Amino acid sequence: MKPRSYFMIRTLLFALGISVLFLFVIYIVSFIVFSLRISGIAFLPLFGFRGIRILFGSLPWLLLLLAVVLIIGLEVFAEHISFIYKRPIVYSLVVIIAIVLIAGFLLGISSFHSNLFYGAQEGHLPFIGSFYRGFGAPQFENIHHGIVSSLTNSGFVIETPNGEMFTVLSSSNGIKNVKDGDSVLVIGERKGNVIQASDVKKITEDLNFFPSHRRMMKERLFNR
Amino acid sequence: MSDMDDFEKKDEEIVSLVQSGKIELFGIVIDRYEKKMKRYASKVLNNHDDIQDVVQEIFTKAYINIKSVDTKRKFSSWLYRIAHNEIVNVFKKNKKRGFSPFFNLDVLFPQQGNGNDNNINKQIEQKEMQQMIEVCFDQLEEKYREPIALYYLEEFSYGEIADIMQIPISTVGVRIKRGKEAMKSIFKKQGYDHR
Repeated sequence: MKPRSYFMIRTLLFALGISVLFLFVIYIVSFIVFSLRISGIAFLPLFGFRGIRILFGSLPWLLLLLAVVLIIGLEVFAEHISFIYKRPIVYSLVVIIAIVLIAGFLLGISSFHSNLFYGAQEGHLPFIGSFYRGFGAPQFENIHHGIVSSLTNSGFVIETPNGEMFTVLSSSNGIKNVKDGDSVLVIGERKGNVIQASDVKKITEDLNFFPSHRRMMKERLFNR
Repeated sequence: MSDMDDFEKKDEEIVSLVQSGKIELFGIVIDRYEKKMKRYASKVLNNHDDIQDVVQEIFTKAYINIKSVDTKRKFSSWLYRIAHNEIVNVFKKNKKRGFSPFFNLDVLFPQQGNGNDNNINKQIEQKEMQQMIEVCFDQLEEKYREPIALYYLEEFSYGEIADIMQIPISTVGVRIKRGKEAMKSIFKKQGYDHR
């Protein structure tokens, strides 16, 4: 006969396990949101159909797959709870997905990941620092997101979230309205530190869903 | 030793005493449920050896885990849940069917109007169903056998069956309804008149 404490510990471990799994899924989803915004991928639809096509090719599919697997795992765990298994799976699945997406999005647009990301860049973040440096701001060959640090005769200079400086050259109309401190998304081939932009979009205030990130980048850029 | 009063106690009272150390009273639990467990297992499983093994395993697991029983809740539901899990294990062992709820549409999606067993039909149909179960239960699709047996033979409610089988209440309703229709059809084919 197993002692009562065995069952109590088992129940506690189950509750702890499901809570940790829940928080981890929320963390992964929020990281995906953060990664999309910091790399500028989230703004690709501004470029129309072409942007949407690039968006699908640039999504962090590995992380998305991990999030899906974790959500299924969470559902399997949750099916052991009586008020959940007594209802159709589709109900609990919808509730879990909704909670994960809402919490993940809110955490993703908060300054939580930005702080960790900039901490990682400055080497203050042990263990997961390399994860943020490598995965936090993925770089794509032809998509460049950053803050305009200065204007030049034929374009402007941007600083990316990774702290790199690129000179953007363009004949595009989009370049005319760009000024210092603007958040921009540039599509174009990069050779060394020069980007030959084929299109430039300004991420205006009303489009910027991620004010904390923009504010942090600006502070970082102008307080040096 | 158990005295005569113990035999008149409710299941939950006996379990409570077993939990507090009077382990010899577990014999009363076995006396009360051995036949029921055999009947339940024999309705769902066909192999005699499997039935014997399952019943033995049910009481072994019940004894080992007796301290996890919440005596404020119905003990029989807890015991039948062990029985259900053991039957599932036998099916898995024999690879007769997959038990993952993710692949059952009636578990995955909500069903309308089948989650209510609180009607007079149950009483009216009880005898008729018991008669049909005796005649054609072994021809019924496996996934309908357990809920039908639990509902019409063991007389559990939909909510209790949902707890035992760990499936949605609406799914219990759907399976009982479909199982009943299937049984009527089998019954008719065999030349009986169920009306």
